[in-house]
Amino acid sequence: MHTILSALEWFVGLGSSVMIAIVLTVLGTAFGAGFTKSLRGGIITGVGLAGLFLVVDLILEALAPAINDMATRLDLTLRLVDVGWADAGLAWSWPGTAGVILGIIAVNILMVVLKLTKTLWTDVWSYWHGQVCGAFVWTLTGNLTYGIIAAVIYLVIGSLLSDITAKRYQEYNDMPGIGVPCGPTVLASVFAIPVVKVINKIPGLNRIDASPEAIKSRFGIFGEVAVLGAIIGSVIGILAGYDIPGILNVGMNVAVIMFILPRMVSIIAEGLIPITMKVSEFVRGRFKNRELHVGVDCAVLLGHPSVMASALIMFPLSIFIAAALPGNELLPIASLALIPFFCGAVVPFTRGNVIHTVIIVSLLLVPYLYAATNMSPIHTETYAQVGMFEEQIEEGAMFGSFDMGGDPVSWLINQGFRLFK
Amino acid sequence: MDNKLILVVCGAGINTSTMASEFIKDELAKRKIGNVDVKTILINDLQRYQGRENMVIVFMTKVDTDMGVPSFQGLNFLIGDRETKLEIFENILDALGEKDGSS
Repeated sequence: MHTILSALEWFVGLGSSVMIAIVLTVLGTAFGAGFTKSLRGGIITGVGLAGLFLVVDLILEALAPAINDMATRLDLTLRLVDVGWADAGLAWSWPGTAGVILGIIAVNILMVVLKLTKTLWTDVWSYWHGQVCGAFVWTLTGNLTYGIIAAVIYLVIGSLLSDITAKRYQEYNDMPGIGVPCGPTVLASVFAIPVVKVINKIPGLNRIDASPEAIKSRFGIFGEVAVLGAIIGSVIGILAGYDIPGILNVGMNVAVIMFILPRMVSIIAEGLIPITMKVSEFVRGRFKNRELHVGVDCAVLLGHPSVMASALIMFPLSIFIAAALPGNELLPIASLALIPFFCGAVVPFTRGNVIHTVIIVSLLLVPYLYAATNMSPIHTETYAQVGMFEEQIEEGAMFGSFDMGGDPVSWLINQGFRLFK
Repeated sequence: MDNKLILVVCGAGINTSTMASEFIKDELAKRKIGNVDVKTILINDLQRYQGRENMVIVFMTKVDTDMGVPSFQGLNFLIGDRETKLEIFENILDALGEKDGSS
């Protein structure tokens, strides 16, 4: 046991980029993707991880102080640093990564054979939500096995919820055969189903709508993340009481953060492609004659014009909700990138009604913000555990995010594992 | 003249479009087709390509804009088996008039 632990420690000590490059090379070769392709994939994912954490450095250096100054000046309790999708970096940096990949593939095949689910969990990239939930539990309990089990539980819940939502996605988005099991998407959809029923019973509200085209053509420029970031950053600068150069620089830095962060995430995803291809071809070949939903990334739901229109309204609204919610400590900036995905998950259920979508996503943010606030100590410590930002954390930086810090299912699973602490 | 272009249009530009474009690039390289570019873009950027000739579009999400060029639903690059992927790929080559160059 001792040797295993010290081997593990040495491995984690290599740093996340080196570790994931080795893990993916070994896994990819084992799955038959070929050594060269797997090695290339592993290194690319390592590059993406390193790049992602560079962006977090910028968040800590340039954005966090401005938000602090603004919060102090306005007497707000928004003390968390929003690291947004940097959590996707955690997913591929913690020592349970390989265990979760193998675990969910095995459990999913078993569940499909036993007809417990119709969802094929083949999109390796989307495992990341479960990975982060597992990393939190690993930090909480100090037990790697618990972490891996928690991650697999999270992903299994995703596949079961996807069974409920898949048909509507397929009909509404005209995409036969798919399902979207990733956490934030299925959660938003499952949340939307009862709320839509209530909205449709409220007189007046059940008729109201706004045309997505009108919103898009009038405010479309704010859908460009760089422009959106520059505006949000400048407003933060103004509220923080900075001078003009200070305001413009916060604006520019937030534009950089919001533009570059998703690009880095896409580099991580690119490196996973050789493995994903093999996993999906392998699993697909096993179940040729069954009607199944193949799990794909939530991005496929973003095309409908109502999605961007709703997101445009939600961007500023999310910030107001966060500032107004008593006890909440997260001001979403980098996390705003998740908003279109929420809208994409809800639109099939509101049948494209922009106002209804905005109402549902606004309500959904409440549990996300409180969970993010509540999870913050574990969230922050998990970064320290994988050896990232130790210095800043020691100085008192506290992290938060929607995806995965604020994920309600991850929060519930972590509460459950508190019993094993 | 500009190279022929395969435009892969994505909702987010993070994962799904890369899956499709990697497959397409791989197959193009295998057949030594050099005069076809593969580009991944976001839905918002689609308008910029209005009027571009010698182009086909592969949609990874539902898009209503009519670009007046051959368009393909690319979802099977994510969920299909190898034969299905190759089938769309062949259709794309056909639309670009590259079918004969493959030998």
